[in-house]
Amino acid sequence: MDDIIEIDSVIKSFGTKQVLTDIYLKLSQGDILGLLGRNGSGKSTLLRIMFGILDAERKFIRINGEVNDCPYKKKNAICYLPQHQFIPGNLTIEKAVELYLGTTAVKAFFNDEALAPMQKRKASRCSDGELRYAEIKLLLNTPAKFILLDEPFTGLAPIRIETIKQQIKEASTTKGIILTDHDYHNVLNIANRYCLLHDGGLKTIRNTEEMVRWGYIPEKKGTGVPEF
Amino acid sequence: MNQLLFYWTFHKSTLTLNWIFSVAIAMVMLSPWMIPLASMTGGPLISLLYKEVARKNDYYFYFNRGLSKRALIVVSLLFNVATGILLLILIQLWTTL
Repeated sequence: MDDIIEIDSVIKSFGTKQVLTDIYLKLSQGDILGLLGRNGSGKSTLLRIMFGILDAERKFIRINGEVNDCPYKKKNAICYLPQHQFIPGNLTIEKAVELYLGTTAVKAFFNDEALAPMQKRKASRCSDGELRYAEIKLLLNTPAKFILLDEPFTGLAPIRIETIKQQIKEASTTKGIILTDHDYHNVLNIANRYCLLHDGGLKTIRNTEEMVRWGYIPEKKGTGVPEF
Repeated sequence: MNQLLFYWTFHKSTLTLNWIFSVAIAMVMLSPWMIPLASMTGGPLISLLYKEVARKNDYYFYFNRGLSKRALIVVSLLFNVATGILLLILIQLWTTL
């Protein structure tokens, strides 16, 4: 049976502004859900609520039908890539991998031309792009069933973006993955489902016209907007 | 076992600031007793405050393995109390000999 996480009836406000209004979202194993939205539309907020570290005025989270207020505390359920680096600066990348995946996984993890030079380096000594790449790969290799990637491609070189996309696709055979990115081109050619946060609501997106209609992208003509 | 390693890793990341603060307090007060006392009280507080202000994202490293912020802080404080009590005993032995 496929694993499913659902988040239902989410209401979240900051001050007087309600950023999420009665949101329902379902993620299954095999899904790569592209979560789109303008700056400040509540994408990160929704992911953090789903992860379980941010409270909401109202929320119901279910994993395989079982209510769970804090999914991140459930073993091997969910991982979240925040927008900024999360591997503590005082740890070497190797140590972080050892802690997350075990010593037996270290050799295979660093059998990667981008990661091999970083193995003994502390996280604080890595560039933003290098660290981002290591962090994404680390989370994709965990046994977690659901992975939330908040702007994973920020700071990555184009060649690494392609590698990460490939790894996301491979990981999605056993996981459900949500990704957000401001460069929506990257999201469009990897995701198999799309949603758009607009005015606090979550809209299912099926084609480019719907993104135009909701004011997320300009009219297609001459703008280079890719088709789905 | 693996969870304990994560708790220990978090605790280690608080030690530098804690011990700098504790030794500094002991030097100002001219009392070795202040090292363990400060390392159980003000030292961890300063370290956790620094984490809260400057290294907040580090917590995600632990969240992703199922550990809550509260659990990390409580376990780290327990490590500090255990180390502090051990140091108090050692200082007591040293001053009575």
